[in-house]
Amino acid sequence: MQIVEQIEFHPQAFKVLLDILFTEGSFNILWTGVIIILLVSFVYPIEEDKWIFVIPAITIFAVSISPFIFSFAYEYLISRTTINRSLLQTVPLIIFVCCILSERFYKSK
Amino acid sequence: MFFNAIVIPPIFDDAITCWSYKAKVIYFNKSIEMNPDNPLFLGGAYSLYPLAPSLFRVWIALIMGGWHEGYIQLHSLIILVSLLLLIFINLKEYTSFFMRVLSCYLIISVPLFSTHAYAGYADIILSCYITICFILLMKWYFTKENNILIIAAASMAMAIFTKNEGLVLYLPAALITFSYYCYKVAMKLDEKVKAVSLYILTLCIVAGPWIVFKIVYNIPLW
Repeated sequence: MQIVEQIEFHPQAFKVLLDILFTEGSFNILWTGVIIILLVSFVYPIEEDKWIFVIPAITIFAVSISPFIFSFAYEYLISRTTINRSLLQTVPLIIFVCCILSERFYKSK
Repeated sequence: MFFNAIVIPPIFDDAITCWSYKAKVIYFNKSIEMNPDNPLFLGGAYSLYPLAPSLFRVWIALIMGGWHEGYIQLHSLIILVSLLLLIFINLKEYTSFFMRVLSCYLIISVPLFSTHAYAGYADIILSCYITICFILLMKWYFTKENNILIIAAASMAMAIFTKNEGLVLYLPAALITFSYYCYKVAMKLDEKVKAVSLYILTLCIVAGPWIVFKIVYNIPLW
């Protein structure tokens, strides 16, 4: 019940998130690179087990940004403090996955 | 980063008012206050915050025989180096040497990481635990060794005891990933049941006491 009461949808959060990820520079070009690698891994055929690596990266990224879209934590998205720390927690695993996908893409060429 | 870690005291909000404050209260009182009516309950401020980052500092202070701010702050840097080593070593099974070096470079090049190496926040500790958990889950998928799964579950449980995000955000993510791996992994049904039981059991043994404690003392879970 506590969770249901705290849910509130903030569609405007998507635009703010895009700004944070791609234009504000806290993570430089990291997220642009991640998106490119994930897209390439889907467009080009790499080994069949890519979902084994992609699922953790996508879920961990999704859960780290979801409070800012679906709860009162949207206000912290506006102030830019907590969102950068939340994204920071996910960075090592996402880089780990992207390096594996990049290598497999390179080998499959 | 090393210089900053040993010279600059905690200057960020949560680092001062929560993690270091709780640690100092516990260290100088030589115990954890368990009376909810006492203002120093669980080390004082923010009783709903888990204790692991503060206890980590207390542990370092106890080993050193005194509270030395600079050396205690150094733990974040040590965790960052451990995280880099973790990535570098575990990528060996999947990628070339060049890619392993590149991955470490990419992590360390994120400015926030170098700041958190001395900021005194708990995010870098949480990041380390969840990275260990997910990397070991991947490793379990390929090796099917249950001891790896137990360490992955223990790591996730430690993430729960490090920050509340571990419970409400990263535990569901780990369970989704583990469910998918269980669905895809080439194992017999009874082996899958055993693996799931081991994972849940380890989570309950390591993180259960903290969650039960919160429920018993009527502390919000997040």
